[in-house]
Amino acid sequence: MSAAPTAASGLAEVLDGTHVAVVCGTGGVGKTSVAAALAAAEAMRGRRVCVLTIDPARRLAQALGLERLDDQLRPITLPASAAPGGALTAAMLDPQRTFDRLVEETAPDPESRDRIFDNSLYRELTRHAASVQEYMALERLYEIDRAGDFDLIVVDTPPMAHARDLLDAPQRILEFLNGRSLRWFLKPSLRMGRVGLRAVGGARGLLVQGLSRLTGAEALQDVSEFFEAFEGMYDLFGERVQVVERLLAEESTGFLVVTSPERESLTGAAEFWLSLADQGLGFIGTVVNRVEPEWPGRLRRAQDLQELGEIPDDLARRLARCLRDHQDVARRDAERIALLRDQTMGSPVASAPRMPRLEASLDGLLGLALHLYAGDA
Amino acid sequence: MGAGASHGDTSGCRVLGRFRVTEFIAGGRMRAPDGPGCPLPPPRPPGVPGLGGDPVPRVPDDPDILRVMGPAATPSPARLPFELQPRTLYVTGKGGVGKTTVAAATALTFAAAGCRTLLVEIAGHDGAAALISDRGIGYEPTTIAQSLQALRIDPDNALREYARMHLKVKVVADRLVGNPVVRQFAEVAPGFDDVLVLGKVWKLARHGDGDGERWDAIVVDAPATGHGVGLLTMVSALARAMPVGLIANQAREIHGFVRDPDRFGAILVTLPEELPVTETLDLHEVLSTEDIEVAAVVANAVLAQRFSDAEAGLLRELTEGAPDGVLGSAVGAASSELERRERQLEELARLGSTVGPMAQLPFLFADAVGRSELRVLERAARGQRPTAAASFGAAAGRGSRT
Repeated sequence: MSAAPTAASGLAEVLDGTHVAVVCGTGGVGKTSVAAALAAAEAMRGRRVCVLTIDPARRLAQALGLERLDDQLRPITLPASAAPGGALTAAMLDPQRTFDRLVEETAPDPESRDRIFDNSLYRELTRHAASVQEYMALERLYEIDRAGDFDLIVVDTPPMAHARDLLDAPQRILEFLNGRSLRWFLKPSLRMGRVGLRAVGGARGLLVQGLSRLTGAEALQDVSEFFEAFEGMYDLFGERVQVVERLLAEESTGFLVVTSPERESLTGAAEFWLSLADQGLGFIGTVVNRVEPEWPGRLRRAQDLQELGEIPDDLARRLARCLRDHQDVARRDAERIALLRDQTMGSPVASAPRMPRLEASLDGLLGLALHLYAGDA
Repeated sequence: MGAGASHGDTSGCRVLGRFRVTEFIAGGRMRAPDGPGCPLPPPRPPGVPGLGGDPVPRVPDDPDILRVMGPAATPSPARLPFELQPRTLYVTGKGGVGKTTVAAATALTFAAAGCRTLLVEIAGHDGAAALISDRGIGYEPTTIAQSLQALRIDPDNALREYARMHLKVKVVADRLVGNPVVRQFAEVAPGFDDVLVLGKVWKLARHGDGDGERWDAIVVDAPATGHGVGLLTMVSALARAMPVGLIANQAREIHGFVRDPDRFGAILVTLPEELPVTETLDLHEVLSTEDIEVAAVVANAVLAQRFSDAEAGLLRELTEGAPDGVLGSAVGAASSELERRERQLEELARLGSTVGPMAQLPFLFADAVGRSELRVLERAARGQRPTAAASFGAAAGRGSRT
């Protein structure tokens, strides 16, 4: 197997000074497992930690000792070996519920609230609109932070191609809910009722007519009502977005980028680092997950294996081929990690080997964390 | 040759459930059968060798690389349960599973079989055509290979085309495009953009390239699952939110189109891992509920079986002796591969027990997929055996585009 982990990755030191760790990256790289593993490890070190996951595999919930994860914060039992004071709490993001709570909190009165909840577009919007999931992850982070009980909050985020998908999400939602241009556009005609659509003159009138021929006047009416419902809440919403953004910019908030050793994923990680640096946001480091172990030794001929282990000729040849394949991948992975280290100017780069499957237990998660705190996979 | 081809005589094809089993050249090449009654037209030009009744070449090292998993669990080497009836095939799946590669390869396969084929990219999810040709593509079809054209659909162009067709005043139609009000409307009205995009696909399938020539096969490289299914199911959502108007009419047309198995089918691409399999099962259920035909499920990056069960036993014995040095590495690498493959097979079994037969593409240790890998298809069509390293699965395996 691979050499035992040696030099420290530097992740532990950075995490020590971190209050909020935002874990991001593209899909399919084990982001959620990494978030849970680091949260568990930090809890074992004696901190009060909360991890907010996005759509975890059932096995991950099991690894945390839970049948399932949902919107509720649930305490996770730590082994007796945990440092005193350590505690772990986990929850799964439910964007719909988070959005509902936000509406309840910002609506000026129950009528406004119900008007939004009853609007058919609201449900569709919270389920499908771009940026909603990203923004709700941040909003939930704010909720958890406000509750105030944690030394460290680890937030998993939806898969994203670029850091700005996450960072711009709050503003994008805000602009969207504002709907200023659309409201301006629709209002005069809608005030005149459905017939009014045809009565608006000028360029705007032509556009209104064009759009309503395409979509039907009803749809325009629904959309307009949707934006009107949010009208009274817009300022409060805006304030909330600012609070969330301030939380992201705080000194004790940092971003952790998870990647696989594939070229595209690593390029994406370097881009993440750049755009976070551009915005002056804290950077915890990069985790390269699912790295091929090193498989040391050099095989000159397949026959060597045959002699070493009394292996049939035919099997020895396939074993040799297998070893060569894996060594090639390992070499490529190592080269790319070195390149990433250069590109991210000495920020911590941690790696973890590819495991056939994460062991569905807290021990399994802690094993993953051990690799991350150490330098080499 | 078009949609709705005869299903009667299947000589040259084996029918497995509702799937049409097609020869699948080892290394991941799809091979179009052309026996009488097979849904694919005869090769064009007619002289293409290798597409007749020649035996399918196989890579001897990996005899079960493409084993078909099904409830019956009868291993059937080198066969792909891919319904190759040319029609509109919508390739979708979770992000990062190799959709783009599968879409490009499927399109090339149809083209190599002489079908007039169109490869469709959707804006924001590019790259399929680039795997085949350097020629840039746009909203109008561009020829990128013999019998193969490609285009990219974006909502703005789709809206312009649609509005011009349906609104009397061209100036108004053009003003709608790129208008911030309309963009905002599109963002809140569920499925507005989706209907425009799918509507364009539908129009292409129905009317062809404008000169009245229709494509035998249209392969759509759809966005990742979240939005990819969205594209199909949002049409229903839109019908609820927007009951009248021209867009609603179009939504109804699309609703019928995507539910007609003679005209439309989905290809679900996945990886033999827990989350992708779970997501594919969800997707499969959604599509069944929506009555949309799943034409094929493709499991990508499946590790080949390198060692027999007996050899695996021998390797375990060797491991117990804790060998060091290069022997230790060799045994270690082999054991870890065996273990990974075992997990993969578990996930495939879980998937197969619901979706039935599926195609498998091999995991390749080669790095990213390139054009040369896809080109192997053409060589395969000429009857040459693809080298293992340059097989389709490389494309679909590590470091591939999605």
